[in-house]
Amino acid sequence: MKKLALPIAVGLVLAGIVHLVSVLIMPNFAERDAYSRLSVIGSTNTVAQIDDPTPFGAVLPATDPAFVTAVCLYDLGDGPLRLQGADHRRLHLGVVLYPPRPGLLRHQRPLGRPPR
Amino acid sequence: MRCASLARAGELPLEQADGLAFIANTDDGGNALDGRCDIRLSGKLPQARFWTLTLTDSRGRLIDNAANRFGFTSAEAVWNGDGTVDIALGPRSRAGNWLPTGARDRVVLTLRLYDAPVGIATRTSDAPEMPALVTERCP
Repeated sequence: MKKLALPIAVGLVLAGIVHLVSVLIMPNFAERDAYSRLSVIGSTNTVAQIDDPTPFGAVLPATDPAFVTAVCLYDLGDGPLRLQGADHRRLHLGVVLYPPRPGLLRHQRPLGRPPR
Repeated sequence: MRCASLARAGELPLEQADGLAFIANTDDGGNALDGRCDIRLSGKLPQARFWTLTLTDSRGRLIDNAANRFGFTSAEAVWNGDGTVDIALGPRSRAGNWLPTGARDRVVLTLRLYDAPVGIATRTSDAPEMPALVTERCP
C-alpha cells in the first residue's frame, strides 16, 4: 500500500492542475458565450435590437423581460466609440459596457460609462 | 469559477452600478417556491428609482400563460396606500397583482433594482428592507 501512496498523490496533484487550467481557459473556448451569441445578430459598431425573451427562448439568458434590449458589439481598434441617441427622459435608459470575452479580463475594470 | 460559468451560459450580468438582482427560490420559511401553491410577496421594496420582478421556472425561462404576464415593474404594480405592495403568485388567477406560475413545481423570483443607492450595491449600507415571501396554501 505504501508503494502506491506517492503515485496516487502525484496523480491527484496532476489531476488538480489539469482541472484548474481547464477551468481558467474555458472562457476562451466558450462558443456559447455572450459575444458569440451576439455576433450573429448585428455587425460590429452598429446597434441592433435583440428579440424580447419568451417562454420558448431568449437571445441572452437572464435578460429582464420588462426592458427592450439592444446591443452593440464595439471594436475600438479604429478609434474611440461615440454613442448618440434621442434623449428619452421619461424612460429608464441604461448603457453598460462589457469588456470583450468576460472571464479573460476578470481583474480589469470595465470601461467607463458615458454620462447620463 | 464564476467567470467560466458565465461565459458558458452566455449571460451578461447586471453591472453593479446599473442594477442589482435578488433571486429567490425559497420562501421566508426556507421552503422551495412551489408554483402549485399560492405564494404571496408583500411589504416594502428596497429603495430604487425603478424595479422589476420576474417569475421564471427553475431553468430561468419565462412561464407560458394566456395573460402573457411574466412579471411586474414598479410602474405597473398596484400599490397599497401605505407604500407597500402585494403580489400573489399561483396557478389560478387571483385578485390584485397576480403572477401565473403555470403550476410549475419549482419557480424562481428575480427582483432587479435599477438605480438603487450605491450603498446597497457595495453593501456599505444596512441590509435593504425586503418584502416578505410566504407560501399561503398548497393543494
